[in-house]
Amino acid sequence: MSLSSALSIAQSALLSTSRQTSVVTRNVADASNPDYARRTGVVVSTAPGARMVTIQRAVDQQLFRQNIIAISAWSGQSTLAGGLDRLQLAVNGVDNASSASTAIGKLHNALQLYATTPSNPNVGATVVDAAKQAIRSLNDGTQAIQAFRAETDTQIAASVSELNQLLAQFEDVNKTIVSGTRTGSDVSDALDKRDALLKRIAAHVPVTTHMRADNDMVITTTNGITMFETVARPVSFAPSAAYSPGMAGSTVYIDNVPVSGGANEASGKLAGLLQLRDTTGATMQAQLDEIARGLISAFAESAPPLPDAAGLFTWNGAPGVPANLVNGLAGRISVNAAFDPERGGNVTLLRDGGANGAGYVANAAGTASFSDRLIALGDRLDQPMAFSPAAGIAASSSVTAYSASAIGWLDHARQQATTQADTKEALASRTAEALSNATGVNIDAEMSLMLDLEHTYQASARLLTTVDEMLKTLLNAV
Amino acid sequence: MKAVSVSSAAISNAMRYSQMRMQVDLVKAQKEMDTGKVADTGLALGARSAQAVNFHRDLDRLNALVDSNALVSARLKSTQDSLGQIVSATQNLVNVLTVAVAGDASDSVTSKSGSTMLQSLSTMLNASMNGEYLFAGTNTDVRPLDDYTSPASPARAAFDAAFLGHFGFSKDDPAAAGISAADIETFMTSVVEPQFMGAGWEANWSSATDQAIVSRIALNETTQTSVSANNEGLRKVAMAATLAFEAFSGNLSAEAKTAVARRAQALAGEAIADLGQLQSQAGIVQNRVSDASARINTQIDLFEKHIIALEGVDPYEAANRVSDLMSHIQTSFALTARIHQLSLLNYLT
Amino acid sequence: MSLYGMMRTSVSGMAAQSSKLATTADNIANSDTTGYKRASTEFSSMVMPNTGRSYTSGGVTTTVINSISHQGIHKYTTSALDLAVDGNGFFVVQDPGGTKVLTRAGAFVPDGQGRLVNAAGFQLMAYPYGFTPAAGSADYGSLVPVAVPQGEIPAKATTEGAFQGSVPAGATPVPAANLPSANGVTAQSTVSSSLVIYDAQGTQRILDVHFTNTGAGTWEVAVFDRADAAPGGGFPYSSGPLGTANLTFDPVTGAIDPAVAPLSLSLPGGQAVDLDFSRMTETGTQPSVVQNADGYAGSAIEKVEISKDGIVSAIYGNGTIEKLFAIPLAEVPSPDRLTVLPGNVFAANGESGDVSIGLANQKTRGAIISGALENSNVDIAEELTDMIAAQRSYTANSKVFQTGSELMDVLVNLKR
Repeated sequence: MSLSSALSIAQSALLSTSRQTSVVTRNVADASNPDYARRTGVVVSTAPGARMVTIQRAVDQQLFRQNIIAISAWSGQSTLAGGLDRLQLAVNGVDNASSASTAIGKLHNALQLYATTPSNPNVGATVVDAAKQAIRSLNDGTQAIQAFRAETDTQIAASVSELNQLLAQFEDVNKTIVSGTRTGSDVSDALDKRDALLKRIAAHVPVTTHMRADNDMVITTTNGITMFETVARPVSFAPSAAYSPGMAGSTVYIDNVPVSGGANEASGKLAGLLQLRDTTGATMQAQLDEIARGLISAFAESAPPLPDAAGLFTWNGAPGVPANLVNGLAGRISVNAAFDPERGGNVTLLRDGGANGAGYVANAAGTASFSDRLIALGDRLDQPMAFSPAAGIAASSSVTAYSASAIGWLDHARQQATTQADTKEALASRTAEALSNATGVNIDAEMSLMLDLEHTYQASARLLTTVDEMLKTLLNAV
Repeated sequence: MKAVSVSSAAISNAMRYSQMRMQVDLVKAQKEMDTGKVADTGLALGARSAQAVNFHRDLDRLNALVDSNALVSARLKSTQDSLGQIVSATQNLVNVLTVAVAGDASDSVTSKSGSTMLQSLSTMLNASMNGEYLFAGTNTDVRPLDDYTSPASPARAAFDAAFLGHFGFSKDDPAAAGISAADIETFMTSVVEPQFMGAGWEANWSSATDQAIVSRIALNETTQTSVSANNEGLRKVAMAATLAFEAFSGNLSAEAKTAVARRAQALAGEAIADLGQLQSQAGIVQNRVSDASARINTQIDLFEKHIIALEGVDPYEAANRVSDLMSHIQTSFALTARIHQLSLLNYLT
Repeated sequence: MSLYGMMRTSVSGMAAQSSKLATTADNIANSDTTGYKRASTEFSSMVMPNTGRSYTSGGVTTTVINSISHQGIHKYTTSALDLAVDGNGFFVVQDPGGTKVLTRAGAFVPDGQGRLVNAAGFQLMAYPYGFTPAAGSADYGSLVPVAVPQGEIPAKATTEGAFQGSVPAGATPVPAANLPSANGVTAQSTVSSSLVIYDAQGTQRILDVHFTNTGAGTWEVAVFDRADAAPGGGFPYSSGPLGTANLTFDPVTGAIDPAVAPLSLSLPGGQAVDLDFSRMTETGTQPSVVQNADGYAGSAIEKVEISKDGIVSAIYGNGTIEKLFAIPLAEVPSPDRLTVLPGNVFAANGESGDVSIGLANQKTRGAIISGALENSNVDIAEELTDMIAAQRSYTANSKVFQTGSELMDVLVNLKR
């Protein structure tokens, strides 16, 4: 039986070689696919002949887990850093040019010049112009922040819908894997797909994965909220079309459990966005509101026992001066028409006082070079006042220093987030590289394997022809 | 059998991440080289950028103060000039009065020098700068002194009325020749003096305020930076000149005229001393302002240094970094090209 | 007499060689027939009684031998229903008339009723899964044709589930009024998880499981039906908890102490589910809860799998495996003596010994390989060489006959 069995073995060798070749081909074809894990055709010999039993897929759970953690952290921090950059630019402008701090500095300088030449109403008009600048900065800043929050809200909605889609896909793939694993079919492609989906899910929410029997995967968030178990859990969010200062954003629910951005280092795009919308955006708004309050009270007309009344800067609650944080004050602050020459006001009121009635007049004689009040106003800008601790900055400082601190606060957050994003990006890139090295395809290795296979194939084919020759010889002998 | 493996994707991507980082760094380094400042101050300083913002704002304010101090200095300089002119004019008046006391001068010369003095006094005190009357105190939009020699002058009318009220006739009246030296002394002390040294000055003569202009000359320093026409020295000059002008233009007796001349001479002498003091006071303020400006300029230098320390970049280092990065990037380009050539495929035929 | 005897002897030799050639022809013709067993001829001499002085030629008798016990090469295929026996034993098959025979030809395909039929039209027989035939006997009566089910597997209701993992140590205790078990508007839980279960109709239902810290090391578990949740999710549920349990953790090891019995839930509709929390721990700061439950929804058959032991399993879309049949193997003491019947089947006879049927891959019985076929055990080269040898022998015999004939001719011509 030897010649026939030789033929049969050679045939079986050809079959297994061609299967291995198809594995190699698949590997080469997907060499540059980051989500592809290398396959190995494991050949098990059974007597007589050889048979390829399984296709094994390279896995490194440890590295993969590190990779998705790094992806979450990177995604969260880069979202945060990007958002903060945009906020900084939108609110404070390039090199802080349109920031409240810069505007207040200019106002201070204009005031100084006016105090030196109080008799010149044209110089006084520059003070009003500078005041308008400050107001524009505050109003625009408020608008920018609220627009930013609304935009972030839209992004959260997009992120949530993508997450739901990913989870739905995950459900399909997981089902395929589980039944494939149970039936013993090759689920490598589905596993690749599941890993790829997991990476994309992790970019939105930091996840922990658990394996159950038959390759069944359970996903929970790092806070223990179930995201996927047999079926995808719903992620729900009701977006708000517009935002106003002091308005709280709606909550994201995963599996009916509310998810917050958290005060800690944001991990995952969703947490980054929530932090931007609820923490950063709201705090910055509170800071602008406090700056506005600081300006109103610094320029308030004061004549005890009369109550303080709003002066150059006024708001919809005038003539009173706000004593505490008023949500959205920065959007409602305006220049008092009584001072604005463009609206028929009189700039000299700034020098003399009395916009709120004769009782508040400081320059009783009405002399043109009375500079005391102007100097006092300049001093008030530098005098410390109490600010709400809710705005996240040292509670007692001058409005000038406070506005600078607001920039410092934002830049601090920006620096932290950017540094973190850089670090996490490096980590994500390193872990991806390590993962790729552990599970990826090396074309050179595959090609050398292919040479091997080619040789085996050639040898088997040669065997076939040899047996054929032998049989031919035999037949010729008949 | 698992040797250390490296995947093709990892090989071809190995340089990509660092390549990207290096290019970002290059753009930053180039910007830093051009501006001499860190590319993104906020990012580089973080919480300390509040400090940088404060420094920048303080720098602006200091520059504004230097500018406003220049204005103050110019005002003080003009004031000083005017005061000098008044002093020299007063000195002339003293000389004329000295001659008049000796009885050697003609009445008209004395009277004329009195009126000249009054005219130049009002010219000097009405000196203005930038639309502000220098000697008006804070009431800078009103001329501090009217021309006494003009018929409409309220001061002159007041003086004439006072004379008439005291003696019962005007100084041009022939009866005026009968006024004794003692009478005229009494008149000068009890009637004329309150007109100048007392409330009469502000009522009839000056619309200036006693209050002087206060200016901020440094971040935490304010000072009076003007001289008011209500200064005692100036009043004395005005009184001496008025007496000389009025007494020597009327029909007063020689005895009375001498008494007036003596009084006027004494007043003018006192005024010169007072004005000297005023000049020195203004000089002190001038000095303070220029001192403050000098101090501020030092501060500005200091602040600029601080700002450079905060956000500055050593341009030499930045330039070095640029060339370093360029060579790195070139090397990594070359390496990438090499690595891509390195493939078994090239050896398989 | 001896001349005739010699001629007859050579004729018997020619007959023997021609039957050998016939088996060779058969072998070559069936060299690719699955499960074909090579036939060969064995000769034995027939000797006439001889006196010492003369020799009377005898003859040769032919015996045909089938190499049934000789295993052919396995040829691998892509069909899971192609079966081969690796080792001793035969498949038991029956013809449409119901006669049970043995075969090694395992190229089965399902017929219209899902029964597995091989190329020769024989149905594969097997015992229902779980049936164990008596050792050493041939229980033909219990055999049934193997039929691949075509329908759906019905849903199975969840009866038990388990939670394992950890709840965070040092969590802030929730005041009693706000516990989920109170099901108030202000209720809050420390860790929320959920579990998918199935009812008897295969309908999915999600249970919300709230773990709530009530104090140092003590936790309350409250289970709610997700369908009852307030709009937008969460508390208060429209009906109270399905069940609550209290867990106490050992402060040192973090393990449950004292042990808790599984929480028995009675779902609306009468379904009872036991949830096991005994493997929960209290460790770390991050919760990590993994849930698991049995039960499944109904689903269609995906494929049939046959194991080494001959177990035929149906695999359903939801991954459930149902074991249906056990394919037995039949053995006889002398397989080579079996009667060969058309269609590569064999029947037992007196020479082969009695058939005994037992489960595959046990004792002396071989394993069943799914996705392979047993090739014929014919080797062409051997057959060809045999053929040449037989031809030469035939020629030699004919030469002997011709010589006898010529000698007879000489003898006849002597008379003239």
